[in-house]
Order: sequence, then structure tokens, then C-alpha cells
Amino acid sequence: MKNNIEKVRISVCEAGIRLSAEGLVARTWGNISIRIDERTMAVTPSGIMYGDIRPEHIAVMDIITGRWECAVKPSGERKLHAAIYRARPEAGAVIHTHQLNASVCAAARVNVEVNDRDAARILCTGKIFCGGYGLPGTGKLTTETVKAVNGSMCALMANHGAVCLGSDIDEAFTVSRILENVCGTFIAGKFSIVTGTGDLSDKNVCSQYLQTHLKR
Amino acid sequence: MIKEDILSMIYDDVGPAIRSGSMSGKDRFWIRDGNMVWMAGVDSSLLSVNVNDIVSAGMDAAAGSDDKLIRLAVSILGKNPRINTLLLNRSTYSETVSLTGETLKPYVDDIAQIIGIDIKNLPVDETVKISGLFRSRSAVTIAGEGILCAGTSMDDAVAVAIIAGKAAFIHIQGSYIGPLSFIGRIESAFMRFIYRRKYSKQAAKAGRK
Repeated sequence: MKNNIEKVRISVCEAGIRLSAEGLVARTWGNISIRIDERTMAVTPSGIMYGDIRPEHIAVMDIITGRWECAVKPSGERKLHAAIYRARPEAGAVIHTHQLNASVCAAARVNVEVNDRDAARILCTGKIFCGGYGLPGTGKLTTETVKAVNGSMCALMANHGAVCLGSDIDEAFTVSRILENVCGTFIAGKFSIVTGTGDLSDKNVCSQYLQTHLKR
Repeated sequence: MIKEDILSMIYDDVGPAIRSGSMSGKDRFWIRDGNMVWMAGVDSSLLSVNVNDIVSAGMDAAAGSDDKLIRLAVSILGKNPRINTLLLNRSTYSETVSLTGETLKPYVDDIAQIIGIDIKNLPVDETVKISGLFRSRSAVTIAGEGILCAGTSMDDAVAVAIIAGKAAFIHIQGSYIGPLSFIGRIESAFMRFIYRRKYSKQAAKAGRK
């Protein structure tokens, strides 16, 4: 699994642009890592817009010791990435996203049932768990998120967003798209139960909300 | 500043946010330019705005406008020197929240970092209170109008508008799946402090290049 470091750095840069283009994050939020070998990973920097990240900004970090090399400080969530690689030797890439539907579920701190069989197969779980709250970059957030991921391919992070992993970066992106669909379906189901309508268009959701609010 | 600069900011920064649904063609903007303020006509769509739609006025003259939103914008720009651009986010979710009178909370960390400890909801004529809120926050909901978002530049204001739209989305969609939790005031303030320090360092580095 020994990848060429420079090639991996370029892949991380490209994935950053993709993360932003697919609407999974805005500005500098979220972060990406790709495993280089059993012991090291390449991770995005802290506080640089994805469009401005160059290969020399991508830190190479020891997954065990946490030591890193780069002129630019790596993401504050680097320890989370390292912990996931330690817990999941088969993981080749990890992305932390702020995607919309997953953020709704993460703000409600709910565990989300996966009712679609294909989605459950890809996510390796019938239920997406939401990890407990912790401040960004803290050991508590890392511990809670790794626990919530467990043997699956993703988890919600309370009041943060989501983390997705894959054997490679393409699979991690696929997982994030499926996670978004599953969370969207979960919200639609609850909306339908509460309102009796299955129309989840923005206009109808807002109209139903306003009606309920004005009745209060 | 010339009209073409403003148009390119709208096409490059605002356009993608409108197409992604985070903002709306009905949104409005105000840009400080010395003692002048640039804006588009009330009926202009930001998706099809052209040079003829963009107008400027002296700050003093604009302060006497019949349009309450223009008066509010000028007041905010006058009292907050770090703010150069204001955007009124009128996405479906932002407008809906503006009609309920509710305060939005930092449901996720990016809301705390880029906007602040909350997004309060006030009537447009509460000019003094609203201007004061912008000292510690980057967005305030204007009752019945949408969410007013501030930035040092158009790029900054668009980022605030995207996150404000996300806050409104989470607030409404989340109401159907259970009670929403949010980040406490002290942690929110701490996160915003750290974020602004990091972001200002980055902006300073970019400026030196």
C-alpha cells in the first residue's frame, strides 16, 4: 500500500476541490486525508481555501506518534483522522464534511436508520450513529467519533457534521453522497409523519413550518 | 470601484451560491466605497443583474432614502468600519425564519465560527439595536425580509450568507426530527475568536503575497 507521497499529496489537493465543488463543505471547513502506507497519512492544512491548497501544503503525518512534517500546520482534526486509520487498517481515505442533511441530523443528535438495503451494504451498517459532542480538535470529539464509526463507513458528529471513510478517496466520496441521501430520506420520513404530506420541496417544508408556527 | 467590478463579484461569488440554493436571485446587496454605497435596484434579480441595474449614492443621501432597508444598511456601514459589504439572504428558508420572529442558534460549529453566538430576529426599524448586534455577529434576521449578512468583502459576505442559509435550513428541517441541540454561548464565542484569529492571519499572509 506504499503510495508515492507526492502523488498522494496531489490527490488530496484534488479531493479538496471536489469536496467544495460537491457542496460538502464551504470555505475552509471540513478536511481530507489519504493513507500513504500503514504508518503515515497525508492531510489537508488548517485555514486555507481548498482552491488555494497546493501539494506542499499537505502534511505527512505519522498515524501512531502524531508527528507531522510540513511548512503549514495540518487540520485541527488530524488526530481524528489518525485515530480512524489506527482503528480501521483497511481505511485508505477519510473525509470530514459539513454536508446539509447530515448536519440537520447531527444538530438533532439522532441515530439514523438505514432502510435501503444497497445503502446499508455500502455503509456497512443498518444504523448511522451520532457521536457525542466535543469541541473541535479535542480528544473527546475523536473518541466519540471513532466509537460512533465502529465497524461502519461513516458517523455523524454532534453539532459538527459527518465523517466518512473508504478504501480510497472515491469510495469515501460515494459514502458521503449515500449518507446525505439516507439522512434526507430520514428527515423526509419524519416530515411526512408530522405533516401528513410527502412533498419535501423547500416551498412546502417552509409553508408547513410557517403554518405550524403561526398556530402556536 | 466601477460597476464592472461589482458585476464580476456578483457573477463569481454570489452566482454559485444562488445556483446551489443557499441564496436567492431576490437577494440584495450594499457595498461601501469611501463615502458612497453601491447597490442594485429593488426589482433587480442578482441572477440577471447588469450594469444598468447598479446604482451608487452618497452615504448621507442614502440615509434619507424612502427604502427602510437602504437606511438600515447605511446605518450599519456607518457604525461598523470593518463591514464593507452587506447581503440580504432571501432564500426560502431565510425568509420563512424572518417571518416567525425566532432566533437561530449555532446548531453546528461553522455557524458559531462565522456568524457568532446567535442570529437574532428584529424589525427593520430597530436600526440602533441591529447596528449594535453587528459588532459581535455577522448576521441578523430582519423581520419579514430575510437574513442580513455582513463581511469585509463580497467573498466574506457570501460565506456568511451561505452559513446563515444553512442555519435557517437546519432550524426548519430539524424541527421535524426532534429537538435541536446547539453550541453554548461561551463555546460559540470561543470558537468564533479562534476562527477569526486564524482567518485574519491567513488573510494577512495572502495580502503579503
